Parts: sequence; C-alpha cells; structure tokens
Amino acid sequence: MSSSKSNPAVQAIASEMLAELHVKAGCDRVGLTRESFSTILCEVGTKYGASSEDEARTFFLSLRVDELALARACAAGENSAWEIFLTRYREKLYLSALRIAREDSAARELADTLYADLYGTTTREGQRVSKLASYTGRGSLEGWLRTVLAQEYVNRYRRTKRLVSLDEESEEGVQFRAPDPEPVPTSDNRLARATDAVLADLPAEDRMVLSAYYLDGRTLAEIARMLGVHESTISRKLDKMAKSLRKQIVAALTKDGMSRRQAEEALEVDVRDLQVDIRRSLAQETQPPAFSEKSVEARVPEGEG
Amino acid sequence: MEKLPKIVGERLKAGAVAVDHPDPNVLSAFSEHLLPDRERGQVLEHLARCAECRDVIAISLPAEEPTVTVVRPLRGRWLSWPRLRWGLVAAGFIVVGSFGVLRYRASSHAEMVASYDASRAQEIEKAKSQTELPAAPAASTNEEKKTPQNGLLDSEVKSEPAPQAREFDRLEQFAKLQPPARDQRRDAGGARGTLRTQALPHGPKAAPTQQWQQNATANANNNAYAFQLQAPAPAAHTPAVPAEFARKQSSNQVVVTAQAPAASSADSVIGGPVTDKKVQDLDTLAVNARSLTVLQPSGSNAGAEVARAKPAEATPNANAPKRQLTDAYAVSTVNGSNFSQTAPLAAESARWSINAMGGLQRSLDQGKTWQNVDVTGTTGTGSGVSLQMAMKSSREKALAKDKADMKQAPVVFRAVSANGPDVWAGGSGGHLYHSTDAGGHWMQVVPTWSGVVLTDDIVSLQFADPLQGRIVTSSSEIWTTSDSGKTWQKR
Repeated sequence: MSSSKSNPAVQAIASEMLAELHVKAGCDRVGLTRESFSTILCEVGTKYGASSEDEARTFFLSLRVDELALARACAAGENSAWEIFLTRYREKLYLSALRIAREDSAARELADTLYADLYGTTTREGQRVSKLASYTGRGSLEGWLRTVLAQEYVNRYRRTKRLVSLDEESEEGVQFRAPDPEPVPTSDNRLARATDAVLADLPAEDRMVLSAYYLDGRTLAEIARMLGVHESTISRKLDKMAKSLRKQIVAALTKDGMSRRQAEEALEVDVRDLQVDIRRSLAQETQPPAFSEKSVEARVPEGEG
Repeated sequence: MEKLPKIVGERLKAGAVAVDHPDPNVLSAFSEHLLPDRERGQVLEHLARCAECRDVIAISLPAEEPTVTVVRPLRGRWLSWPRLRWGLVAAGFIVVGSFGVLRYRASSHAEMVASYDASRAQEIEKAKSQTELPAAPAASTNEEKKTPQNGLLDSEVKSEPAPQAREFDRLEQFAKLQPPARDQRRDAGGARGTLRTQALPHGPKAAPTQQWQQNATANANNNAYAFQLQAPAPAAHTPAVPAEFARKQSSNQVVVTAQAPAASSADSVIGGPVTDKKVQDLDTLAVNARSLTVLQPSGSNAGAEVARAKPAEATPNANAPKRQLTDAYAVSTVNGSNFSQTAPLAAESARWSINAMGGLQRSLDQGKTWQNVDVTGTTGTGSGVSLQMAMKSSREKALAKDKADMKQAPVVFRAVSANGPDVWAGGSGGHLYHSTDAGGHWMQVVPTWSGVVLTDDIVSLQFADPLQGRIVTSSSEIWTTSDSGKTWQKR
C-alpha cells in the first residue's frame, strides 16, 4: 500500500507520534527502521479509515505497536524478530491448533501450514509474501494467530466435508438420515414477510445470538464468551426473544389482515414444530421386559424335571 | 426455554450471506472486545448472517483462562463491602457488650463497698450504744453467744468490774491456750489486748475505697470515743488478758484473732518509750519490710507494743488511752494511705493463688510479684455471720473450741476464688474467708446448715458472682450459697 493513498490526517498524526510509538514498539530490538515503521503506521491507519486527527491519535494509541513491529519485522525477514517470535509463540501456536483441531496430528498439520504461510512460501512480483504482513496490531498477535488458524481450519473442514466417502457417512449414520423435508409451502408469503420484518427490527447482537444458538448449535457458554457477557445473560436474552418474537409475528400477521387464530395456526403449521419425541416412544415400544413371564414359566418345569 | 417458531430459524438461515468476511485482525479484535462500538456493530451484523465467521470466532476463543480470572477476584473479596459491613456490626456488638460488662462490674463493686461501709457504720453505732450501757448483764453471763463485735466490746467493758479471782481463772485457761511466744509477753497483754480490740474497728477505715478514706475522720472520732470509755482498763491495773481471752472465745467461732500475726511480728516490739513519730516510722518500716497485706496486723501490733511498753514504764495512766488512740489512728492512717494507692489496682487486676505451703498470695502486677496475704490480720465479721453465731448450739461451741485450738496452726488454703474485688479463700478445717475489697479486709465465714457446721477441708471454691457460690469439701460435700455466704445449703 503506497503512502500516496494515505489519509493526510493519518500521515500527520503518524509522523507526530512516530518517535513515541517507535520507542514503544521496540523497533530497534527487532531491526525495524523508523521509515519502514512510519510506512506501516500510515498503511494501518488508512486501512481502517481513521478520518479525523483525534480518531487517528486514539487509533494509534490503541494499536499493539510492539507486536505490530515484531510481526512486520518477521515479514521483512529479520532473523532477530523471528527468534523472538518463535520463542514467544511456537508453543502457544501449537496449543491453539490442538484446541481447534482436537487431535494431535491434525493440530500439527494445521500449525505447520500456518508456519508456512507466516514464513511466506508464495511469492508476488518476485518477493516472498508473508501472512504476518497482514497483521495490523488491532488485537493481540496471539489472538490474530488463533483467528488465522481457525479460519484455516474452517476452510479446510468445509473443503473436506464435500468429499466425505459413503463409508464415512454410513459410519456416522448420515446415510440413513431422513432428508430434510422441503419447506412447507405456505398459502401466502405473509408469514415470511412478517418474520423478516420482526427479525430486521432486532439488534444485530440478538440476531447473532439467535443464529449461534438455534442454527449453529453453540452452547450458552460459548456464545457468552464470544460476546464477553455472562452465560445467564444469554439465557435470559434467548428466553425473552423466543417469547417476544412469537407475539410480534402474530401481531404483524394480524396487522397484515390475518385473524389472531389464523396467525397462531400459521405459526404452528409446520410439522417440525411438533413436540413429539419419536425416538423415545419407539424405544419404549420395542424394549423387551427384563424377565418375561414366559421364560420364568419355562424354567420352573426344567428345575423340577 | 421457550421454543422458537421454526419459521424464525428458516428466515435466519435464508438471510445468511457469505460475502466480505472481516479480516482476522478485526475478528480477533472483536473476540478481545477491543473494537470501537461502530466497528463492533458492523462485525455483529456480519456475524448475524455469516455462519463461517461465527464458527471462526467460536473456535478461536482462548482456553478457559477468563474463567480463572473470574474466580480470582472472588477469592480476594475478604475485604469486600458486605463482609466489612458484617464485621463492623459484630465489632459494634462486642464494644457495646464489653462496655456494659465493665459498667456492671464497676457499679456492683461500688454497691458492695457502699453496703459494706454501711454495715460497718451500723456495727460501730451498735458498739457505741452498748459501751454506754454499764455492766451489760449478757457480758457476764454468756459471752460465747455474743456477736463478735459484742464480744469485743464486752471484753473491754467487763475488764473494768470483773472480780480478780475469776479473771485469774481465765488467765490460767488462757495460758494453756497461748503459745510459748505469747507467754513471754503475757504481762503486758492488758494494754495489748485492749488495743487489739480497738484496732479491729479500724478495719473499715483502712479499707481501700475513697469513701472510707473520707469517713476516716468520723470513724476516728468514734474510735476515740470508744477508747475514752475503755481508758480505765489499764488504769485499774486489771489484767486485760481476759479481754483478749473473751475476744478470743468469741473469735473462736467467727473471727480469726490477731494472735498469729502478732507472734510473727514479735520482732517488731519496741521496748523503750515511743513517740508518735516513732510509731509512724515503725509503721512505715512495717510497710516496707512486709507485704502489703501483713501491714495492718503488723501496724496494730506495733501500736499494741507501744501501749504495752507504757505501763511497764509506769507512765501516767491518763496518757495511756491517748497513746493508744494515737497509735491506733496512726496505724489506720498508714494502712489507709497504702490501700488507697494499691486498692484500685487490686480491685481491678489482683490475681490470687495459693503457694506450696498453703498460703494465700496476691499479685497486683499481673503475676510478676506475689505477696503473702494474711487473712487473719484483717479479719472482721459480717452481721449475717453473727446471726448464725447466735444460733449455735453448745455442741457447736465445743466444736468451735476445738477449732480454736486448730487455729493456732496457720490455715492451709486449698482454694481461692476471685470475682473482681470479691475474694473467697478456703482451706483446712473448713476455714473460709471472704473479702469484698480485693483482700483489704477479711471475714471468716462458717457455713452452717440445719445445725451442721462445715469442718472438713475445703478443696474447691466456685463463685460465679458475688452472691452465688459453691464449695466442695474433702468429704465430697457440696455447700452452696446464693446470698454471699449468709446462708448455706448442703448437698
């Protein structure tokens, strides 16, 4: 990213704070010159669109400049920076990969792939391109590394998911799973419209919580940690939303011309809403009694004989 | 949890998009809650639609470290406000409670001292009125049935008109009871015995409280009046040994005589003429040389010795009572001043113990130094005890006489119970002494219950408060009182 595209306000603040940030970042230790560090600051500031000088100053002060300098020095191929990086993050990177992949070999493979990307195996215009050059210091370098690992894992999982063999599917019981029924065609689109309208009115955080809980199957604890709140907060929020959504959809439907009874029926029309536990009822029907009367009767004459 | 309508899930899924994913920098900053609100809202909007990025966020969460950081503050909440609040409440209760206890103890002590003072004043008044009666008939008939105070005064009054022959008979009896050390000085026993009986009423005057000090002048006047009444005793050259003997007989039952301390302080006898100054010096010496508790008996002995020396030198008889009065007064003054200095300490912080020899000891400095306490020298009698005395049968008198013989040997204490200034000490032969002024003055108490006198050794004393007490004897008898030793019940 060339400096010619930089925001003038960002450039001014970057040059003003350069000396302070240069010292704070410990650029001398990792072999990063002032000029290259200034270029990095301008690039980062421009990328995230700091418009005014105050915003730019706040933004620069919030950056993890020491980790930014380390990552960029590594990207530039500084050996001293790499030593520091490996000493500091090698173990953490592997542990993060293990936590994500939940299996040792997959974790090592994941971590090795990331190391290759970090070192820069691809070249662009004859120059090695390191993934570390995309680190901007907004969060911690460790968090960034975990996110990159997670992205890599999700991409790989999604790639390999498409290539699951029939044997694996049968082992997992997927083959025998009933196909998802087609959405029941509603007589009109009023229900979908009303639902969309109600969902659109929800805050983004609430929709994210709904999606994570009902679509992704995340636990309350996971969602709470993603948002940095307590688990009970998510629980209350979900409960409250489930109640209010039903009311709001019914209200929207009645507003759209349906009677209240029709609206409630429209909400319940989907057979998948039925609260029937087929698995349990099937198990109860087929489970044989522990000691049948017949076998007892059969044994008695044998004993006597 | 409320079930979400299925249509909502479907519409959420339908609204999902997978375009323009935020870069890992923004996602990691979102996870670490470092994004400004505007950017955070944008990321949330994307996350609401993008399952991939939700997955990335979810699986890139760090290990359970935040849980640990949540737990640690919980551990460090010992100084949190609720705990401090309850702690303050508890501290307040403790302060109020201790203040109340201190106030109760102070007031009860003051009441006890006041009642003791009042009872002493009554006794003095009573004694005064009896001395005004010439030749009380009871004195010549049955001295043993007298109260101790009456007995003392009887002896003084009786010494005047008693026939010589009868007196000599008693003298012979008394000589049998006297230890050899006493025999050597029997010739001077008249003045001495008289003076001792005078010295006893000074007890309250030498008491530790300031009230008694304030009353000292009044008491001295009373005493002076008493002395003038008995002045003819030495003048008539009547051997006053019967006076002491009478007192002794009465003290057999109630009061411990001053003989034992007198014997122990025999070395403080002065033979020559003694002036007031000398007597006071002697008293001061006695204070310095002896422990505080022995001070009063030694002081009274010194006064007695002075008085004894007077007739030996054929001093004009008219001077004798004056001399005695001065001596006695000097004693009380010395004792009073000393007690006034030490009594507050004693009342508040005196510690009591019994040494290996069975002697009673008191410490006024939290156990650093211990002083021997001689309960016999400061013995007085209470009115309640006197009533018991009056009801004694002749058999008990015989018992008491035996006890009088035993009394020649020092009492071996076995138990002491102190409750602030209220001290009880018990030991061999059922000897029980009570002091209400932290050992300044002692009264012997003879527990009696339906004609039975406590004569066994006292092995345990328990006084939970100044009124309620319990005694265990060597024969496993249990004696209890609920009125500070006036009446007793045996179990």
